[in-house]
Amino acid sequence: MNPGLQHFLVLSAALFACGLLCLVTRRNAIGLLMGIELIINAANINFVAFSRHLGNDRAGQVFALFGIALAAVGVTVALAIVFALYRNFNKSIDVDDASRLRG
Amino acid sequence: MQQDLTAFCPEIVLVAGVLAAFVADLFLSRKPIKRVVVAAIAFVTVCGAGICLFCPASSSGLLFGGMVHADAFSVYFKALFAVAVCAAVVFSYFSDEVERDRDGEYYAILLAMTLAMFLLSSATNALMIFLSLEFLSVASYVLVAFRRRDKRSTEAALKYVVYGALASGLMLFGFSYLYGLVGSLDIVEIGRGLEQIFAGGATTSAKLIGSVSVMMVFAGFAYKIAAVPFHMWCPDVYEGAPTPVAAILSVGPKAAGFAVLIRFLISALPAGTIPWPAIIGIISVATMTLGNIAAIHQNNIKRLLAYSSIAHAGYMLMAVSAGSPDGTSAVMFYAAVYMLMNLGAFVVVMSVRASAGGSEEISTYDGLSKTQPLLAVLMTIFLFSLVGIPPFGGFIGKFYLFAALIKKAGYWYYVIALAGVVNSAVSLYYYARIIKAMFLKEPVSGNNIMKRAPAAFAAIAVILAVPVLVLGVYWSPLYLFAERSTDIFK
Amino acid sequence: MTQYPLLALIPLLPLLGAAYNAFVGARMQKRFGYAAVHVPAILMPGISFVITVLAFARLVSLPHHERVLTTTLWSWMPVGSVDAGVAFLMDPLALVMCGFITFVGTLIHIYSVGYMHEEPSYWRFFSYLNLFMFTMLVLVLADNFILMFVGWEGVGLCSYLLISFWYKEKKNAVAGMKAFIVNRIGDFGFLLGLLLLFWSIHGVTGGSSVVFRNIEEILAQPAVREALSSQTVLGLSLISMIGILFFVGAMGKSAQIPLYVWLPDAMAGPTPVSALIHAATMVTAGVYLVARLHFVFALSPLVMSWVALVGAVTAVFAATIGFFQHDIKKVLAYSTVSQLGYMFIGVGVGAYWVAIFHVMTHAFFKACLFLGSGSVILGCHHEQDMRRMGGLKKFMPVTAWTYFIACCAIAGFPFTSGFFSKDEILWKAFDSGNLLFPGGGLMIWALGALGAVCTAFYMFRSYYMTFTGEYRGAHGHNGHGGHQPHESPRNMTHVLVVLAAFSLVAGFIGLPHLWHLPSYLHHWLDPVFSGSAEIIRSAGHGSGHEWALMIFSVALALTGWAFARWLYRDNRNAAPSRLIESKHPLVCGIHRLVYNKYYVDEIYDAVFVGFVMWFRKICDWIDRNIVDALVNFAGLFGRLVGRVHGLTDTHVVDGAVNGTAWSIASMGSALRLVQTGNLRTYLYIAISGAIALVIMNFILFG
Repeated sequence: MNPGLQHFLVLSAALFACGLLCLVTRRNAIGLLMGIELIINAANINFVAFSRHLGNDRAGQVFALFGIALAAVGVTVALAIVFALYRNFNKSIDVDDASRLRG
Repeated sequence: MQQDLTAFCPEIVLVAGVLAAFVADLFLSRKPIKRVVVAAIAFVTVCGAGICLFCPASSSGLLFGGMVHADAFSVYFKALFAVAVCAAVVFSYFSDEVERDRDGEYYAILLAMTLAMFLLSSATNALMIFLSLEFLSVASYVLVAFRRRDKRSTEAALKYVVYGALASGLMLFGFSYLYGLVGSLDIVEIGRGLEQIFAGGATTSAKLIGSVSVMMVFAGFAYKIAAVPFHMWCPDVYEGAPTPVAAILSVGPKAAGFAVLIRFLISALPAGTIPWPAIIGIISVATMTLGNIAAIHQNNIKRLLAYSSIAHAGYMLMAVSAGSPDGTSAVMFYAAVYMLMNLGAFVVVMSVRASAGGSEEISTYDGLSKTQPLLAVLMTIFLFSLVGIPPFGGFIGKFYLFAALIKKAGYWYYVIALAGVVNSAVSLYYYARIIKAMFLKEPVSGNNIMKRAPAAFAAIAVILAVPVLVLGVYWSPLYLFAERSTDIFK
Repeated sequence: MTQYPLLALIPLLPLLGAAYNAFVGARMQKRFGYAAVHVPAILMPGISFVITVLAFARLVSLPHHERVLTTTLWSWMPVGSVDAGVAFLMDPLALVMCGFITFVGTLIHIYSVGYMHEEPSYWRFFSYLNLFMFTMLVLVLADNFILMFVGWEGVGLCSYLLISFWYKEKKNAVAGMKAFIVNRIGDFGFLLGLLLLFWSIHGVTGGSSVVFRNIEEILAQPAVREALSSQTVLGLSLISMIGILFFVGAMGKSAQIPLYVWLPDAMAGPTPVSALIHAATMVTAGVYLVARLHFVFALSPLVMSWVALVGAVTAVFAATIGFFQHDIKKVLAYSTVSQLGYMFIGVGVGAYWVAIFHVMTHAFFKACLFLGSGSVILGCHHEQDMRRMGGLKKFMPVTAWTYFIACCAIAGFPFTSGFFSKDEILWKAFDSGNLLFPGGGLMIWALGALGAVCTAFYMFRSYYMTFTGEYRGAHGHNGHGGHQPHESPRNMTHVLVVLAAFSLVAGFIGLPHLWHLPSYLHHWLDPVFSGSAEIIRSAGHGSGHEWALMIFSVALALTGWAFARWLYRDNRNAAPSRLIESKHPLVCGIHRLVYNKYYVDEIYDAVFVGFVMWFRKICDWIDRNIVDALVNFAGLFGRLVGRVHGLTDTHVVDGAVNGTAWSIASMGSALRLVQTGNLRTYLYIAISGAIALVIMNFILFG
């Protein structure tokens, strides 16, 4: 069966949903970052799929490249912060422990 | 479409400044003069960028293949950012929360944040919007996490990162569907495409996807301006971040978010696509109300100012929902006045915090009128201006916001305006609580003897208070500047 | 319209003086003494006066109908049709007002150096005085309503600050508050009048303005006049309603019935304040307003009659109260109210230039009287009761003579300034053809004449009680040691002499046409009021009538004087004391009624203040019984929200919302707990919010 546009869209929607679920249910900080990666990559798939569907429009492909790069940037910074979290919160990367700021 | 880069001068200056700051930090590390040099580089760069904005050689036009439009609208906001960051460099220099041995990077990243704000306010392409938004966010994450050993700073940064990444992800997903629907990333093209979809009777699924993706894009913008329901990061981040960072976060990225939001709404969502005035109106009422009500019981001054900035975003959204040139110029005028008064309030917070040994409780403000009368008077000016009491600039700003709504003369606009007025009245309570503590309570006598905070804070606060007072009486130049800059309505 | 940038300095220099004394005055006073405070304070209005004279020279050099100088500082509120700018306008009317305000003001500043020489808050006094000069000059020089209102409010504020200058004593603070509140009622009328005028013009012509000259031009169009006269509001034509509302504002500021009650109490302030604000300048702001808006008032005979009637009744009413007062400043206060009544008679019958003439002459002789009374009070060591004075002529001859001259002027003795101005007012009232009711002019004239004889009587009564006979005051037994009353220092007496001189000669600029002599003031003010000249009609009485009236006025003045002299000179006549101690019920009753100022203050207290207190009780009952029920309900609602949230996430709700706190505070507490500090909560809410947005968009907007 030939994968048409709708297959890619369903795939990316599923990935997006997985990413959301990951973000909401995980307590591990790295797990949250994985969820974020999933969401961004779902969008990337969307871009590439649409670009192909619109006749190899470059804009979509370029956006996907930028998406990959920016995801990398975001995750880098996030990981640095997770390091700080690990150091400051007694070697724990459970996000529920970091709940002092409230109200 | 222009091929020369004279309109891009300010950004180029900023890039050069970022590089120079990093290099200077590298070469001068572990020397005491490094602080002064890097701060000076940052200050000069921002001033240079500000001056470049007004050079006659800078002619406006589309740059980089339609990615960036350096028009009068963006010039106004860039000027605002330049002023804000100039002040930020100065008060960061004197603040004890920015760790002294690593602050070379601080100024460099601050400059990078400025560059991102400049780009965001002139972005006209979905890619550019996303890119500069991410750039701005990442720079902010680093600055918020700057105090590596401080638990609150780390926690605030963690929340900021994850929340921001979620919001950016949502926005990216929304943009991807918009791209698929319309076939282009340029926001004007998106506008035309959406118009065709919604008017031309395309399939309902296309309309559904269109509105869903626009809502997701809204999520990204709403996160940046801290509007309900994407505001929850704001109190924690402002409380945990070093105070200079919280100060610049409350004005710079917020104004940049408004700039790009207005541009997006006007260019990409013309009438007949999504009824965004109504949606923005609902969000604005929710934002104002939540911001004001939640601020009532706060005991931490930075958290209170965070909720207050949420509320002010709500007021500005009111005028955005009016959707007219008047509304836009009102938002721009208010952004400038808000920048002055909010930065001023934060500077006073920094000063009081320094002299109270790092405590941010409102109880440290007791009796401030007796111990540091100048600061008490300045804080009163800023707080009254935030409430919107004449004869301060805040009143004029709020007046224009309400006037833009009332001019639209519709039933729901009146309801929104009424909500705004009631909220302003409610806000008087929590601002006046601080003023009451300053003037009517006795100073706290205890072990934390008030050491003198650097006088520079008082000086900066005075420099910020003077325009707040003047704008209460003589505001027409600023308003005319804002009015002339709403050329995106052409 | 000629540009004249120096105009801006006239109000700004006193503002600088006020700022100087406010910010560094205290320190300067401690280091360099009193001179460091009063020298700049006197210089500033002095220089303003010099600039006024220069402006006068400039105006004279212009042709007769183009005598207008303007300068615009900045465009203040360019919002729609509201074209208010911070702009000053000097036409002949404003020049006359500015002239005597700065001149008398400077003199009173000089006087205050002597009067307040023992005052520790010296700097505060001069700061307030200069601030008052600033606001009064802004009021007079403003070229639009909004700026004039700034000055209007400003003089009210300064009046409050200066009346309660010695605020540590409660009665002074209360007097200040009373003045401020009664003034506020008038301000409300001013604002309503302004709004009604602005929107009426907008309704008729589609555009509008707040600048006086523009409004005058608009109202000169017959179509606009017709529209404003034909449309009615509550049974009155629009233009009448506007006029009445503005007159309410004028009544408050210029102490006419029923809003005069603050002026006698305002005597609690230092005497220079009473002289400057409550005699010469601020209280004339109402008259100035009516004169400035002549083009509005002239269009409605109803309002003109009302103004003239209120002025006449006030003139007589206040004059009668003066009969029995024994505090010298209160006598002068009621006299001021009465003279203001005359000025309103003048503007009421359309004789605008005459009213302004009387404003000017009144400034001179009333300031002289007040400053003279201040000199007496100082000389008698802060004694204000005339019954404990007497025979002061030999202790303070200069004061006595200047006081006598000023009394002659206020009574209207021939050839004094008061004679010319008051007589002209009475003649114009008699000869008025614009009043609604037939014979109106005659009635107004009769009331005015009655007031004139009363004025002469009680003013000379005050003179004779104070300066002739034997000194009845304390002779220094209580540790003061041999304190005789003494003459005041030179800086005070010189001012008295100057003012007395002007009280004598100032009248010669407005000589009556009857004597075939030029009236400079009438000619000078003619272009200002020319717009209404064709509306104001005369009743056509001949010059014979005018001669008769003039002689009759002189006779009245002499009668009053003679009567006072007979009763009070040297206090030999026992008739007054017999009258006061009489047991005859009618005499006693009348005396008590008049002495207690017709119980007006008590009536106001019972009616208005009592009403407000009763209303407060009602609100309190509603708050406690009705609002609290709502509060309990809201607390319940807040609890419900918390329960729902608790279903999906962690323990947010427990014990937080309990509904006893008032509703917003409890909502605030609930919101605080929503902000759990748990990141996953935030993410969850964000995603739910996004979904909610989508669903909301779908449901509400398709």
